[in-house]
Amino acid sequence: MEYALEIESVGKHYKGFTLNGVSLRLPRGYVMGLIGPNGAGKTTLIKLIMNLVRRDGGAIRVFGLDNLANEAAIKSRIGFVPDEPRFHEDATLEVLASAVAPFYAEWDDRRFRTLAGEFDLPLGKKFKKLSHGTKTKFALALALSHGAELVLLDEPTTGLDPVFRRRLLDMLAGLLQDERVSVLFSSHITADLERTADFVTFLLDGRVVFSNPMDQLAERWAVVKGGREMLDADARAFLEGVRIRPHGFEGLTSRIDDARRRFGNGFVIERASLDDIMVLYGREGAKHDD
Amino acid sequence: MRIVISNASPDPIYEQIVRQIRAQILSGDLSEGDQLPSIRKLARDLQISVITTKRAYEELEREGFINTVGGKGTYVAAQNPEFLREKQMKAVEEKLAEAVDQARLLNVESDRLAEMLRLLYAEDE
Amino acid sequence: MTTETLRRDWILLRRDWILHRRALLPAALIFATFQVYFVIVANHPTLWLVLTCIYMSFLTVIPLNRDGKFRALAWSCTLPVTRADLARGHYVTAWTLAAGLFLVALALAAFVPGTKLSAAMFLNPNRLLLAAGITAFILALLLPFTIRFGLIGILLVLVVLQIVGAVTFVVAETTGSMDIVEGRVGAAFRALADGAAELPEILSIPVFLLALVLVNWASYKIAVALFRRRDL
Repeated sequence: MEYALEIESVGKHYKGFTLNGVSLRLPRGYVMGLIGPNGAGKTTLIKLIMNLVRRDGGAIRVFGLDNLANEAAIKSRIGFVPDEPRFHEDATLEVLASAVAPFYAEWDDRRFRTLAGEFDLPLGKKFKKLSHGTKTKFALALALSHGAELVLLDEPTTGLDPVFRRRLLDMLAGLLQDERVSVLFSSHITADLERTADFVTFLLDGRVVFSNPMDQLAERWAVVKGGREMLDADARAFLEGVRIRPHGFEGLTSRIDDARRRFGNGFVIERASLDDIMVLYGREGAKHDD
Repeated sequence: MRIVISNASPDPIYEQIVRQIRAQILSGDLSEGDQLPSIRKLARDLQISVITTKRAYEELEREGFINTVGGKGTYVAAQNPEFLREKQMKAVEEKLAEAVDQARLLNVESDRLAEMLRLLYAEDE
Repeated sequence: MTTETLRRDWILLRRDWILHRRALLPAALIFATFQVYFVIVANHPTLWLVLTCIYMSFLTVIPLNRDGKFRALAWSCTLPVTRADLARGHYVTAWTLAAGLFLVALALAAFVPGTKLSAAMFLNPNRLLLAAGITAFILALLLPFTIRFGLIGILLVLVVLQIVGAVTFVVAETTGSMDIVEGRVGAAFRALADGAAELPEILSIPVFLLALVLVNWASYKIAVALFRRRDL
C-alpha cells in the first residue's frame, strides 16, 4: 500500500504537554479524521508534519519521503490550512496571493480566482478586516490552488457556518475524485467526519487511543446502558469509560461481543458514535458525574 | 440506479448500498453490462467515505453481481438465470423466515399464518 | 541545486518586497530626509560613512520585524522552502536593502547643495570596504538574534549595548576616568577609520573581503541552527 502520510512513534515535549509515541498511517487517496478534545495534541501533530515545530523523536514520512530531509519538495505538494490563519495583516488578499503564487510550480491562478469567487473572498480587502471564517476560506483557497496531493486541515470548520461547512465537505469529496489526493482533517465536530472520513485517529492527552478505518469502529465500539445499581466493580473494570446519569449509566467498550455476553437482560447495547467514544473514553464515572 | 442512505438505520452504510444495488439487479432495474458509477464518484454523490463505497462494491463483486474491469469501470455482471432464481428464492425464504419469527412472537399458529399467506397471495391476482 | 537556491532567494526577496514595501518606503524616505540634513552638517567623511552604515543596517531588520509583529512567521514556514532558505532570504533582503539605502545616501552626498562631501570621496576601495565591513558586522550580529527571537532579539542586542554603555559611563564617572574613556572611544573610532585607510597595507583587499564573507557566512550558519530549533 502506498501511503500519503506515515507517522512513527513521534514525540514532542513541551512544558506541561507531551505528545507521546504517536503513530498513524494514511493510505494515498483517502481521508483521515483526527479527533480529540481541545489540548489533545491535534494541532501539535499537524504542525509536526509541516515542521513548524521540531519533533523530539520518531519519523514522519510524506509520500514516502522524510519530512525534514525533503522539506521543500514535500511542502510544495501539501495544502495546509491552520486553525488560525495569520498573514501580514496590512496586506490585501490580492497582494498576499501574489506573494504566495511564485513559490509553487503548480500554482493555478485561474483556480484561485474561481475559488475566491465561490468563497466570496474580498480580494481587495486587507487581511485584518476579515472574520475568522473568511480568513479560513482564504487559507483554503490558497491551499487548494497549487495541485496539492495532501491536504492538511486543522479545525477548518470552526468559525464556518453550517452551509459552508457542508460545502467544504463536498469540496473535499470533489478533490478525492483524483485518487492521488489524500486529506487529513482535524475536528472536534465529529459529525463532519462520521460519514466522509475513511480513517479516524483519536488523540487524547498526547497519545493515540486508536487509528482505524472508520467502519471498523462501528463493529468494535459500543455503548452499554443500564440502571445505576447495575454498574458493579466488575462492570466498571470491563468498561473503557463510564458516565453516570441520574437515571442510569452509559459505558463504553471496544469489545462488543464480550459485552453482549456479559451484559444480558436489562442492559441496552448500541453502536457507539464518534461522539460517544470521544465523550466517554477514559471517563471515571464519579458519583456526581453529570 | 437509486440509492438512499439512512443515518437512522441500524445497518451499516455499506450494507445499505449492497442491499439496494443487489435488489435492483435482481429486479432487473439494472441489467447486465450496465455501468455503475466509479467508487469515488458514488462516494461523493452519497456523501460517504470512499472506503465504505469500496467495501460495498467488493461485497457485490464477491457475490457475483458486478465486475470491475481494470481501469475501465464497474459493470453489472451477467447473471446465470438458474443462479439468479436461486438467489431470488433465497431472498423470499429470508422474508418468510422473518414473518415466521414475528408470528412466533405473537403466538400465531402455523395454519393461521399459512392462511394469511394465501389471502395475501390472492389479493394481487 | 545552485540554480534552485538562487530561485528560492529570488522569490523570497520578491515576497519581502511585495509584503513590506508599504513599510519600507516611508522608512527610506525618513532616512533620505535625515541624510539631506546630515550630508550638509557632516564634515568628517569617515564619520559620516560609519554613522550612515549603522543607521541603514538597523533599518534592514524592518521586514523581519513585521513578520514577527503579524505572527506571520509560521505561515512563511509553511511555504515550500526550508528553514535555511528562509534564514538566507533574510540575509539577502537585508543586504539588498542596505545596498539600496547606501546608494541613496551616496547620491545625496553627491548632489545636495552645500555639502562638503562628494561621491568621489566614497568611491574608493578603502571607504567602500569600511562601509561593507560595518554593515557586515552589524547584520552578522543582529540577524541571528532577530531570526531566533523576533523583535525581542533586536531589543536584546540594543539593551545589552545600552547596559554596556551605561555601566562604562557609571564606572567612568565614579572613578573619575571619564576623560580616559572618552579618549579611548575616540581613539577606537579613529583607529577604525585610520585602520580602514591603511587597510591595503595591513590586509589585502581580497583577504578583507573574504573575512567579511566568512563573518556573514558564520552568522548565517548560526542563524539557521537557531531558526531550526524555533517552534512556531
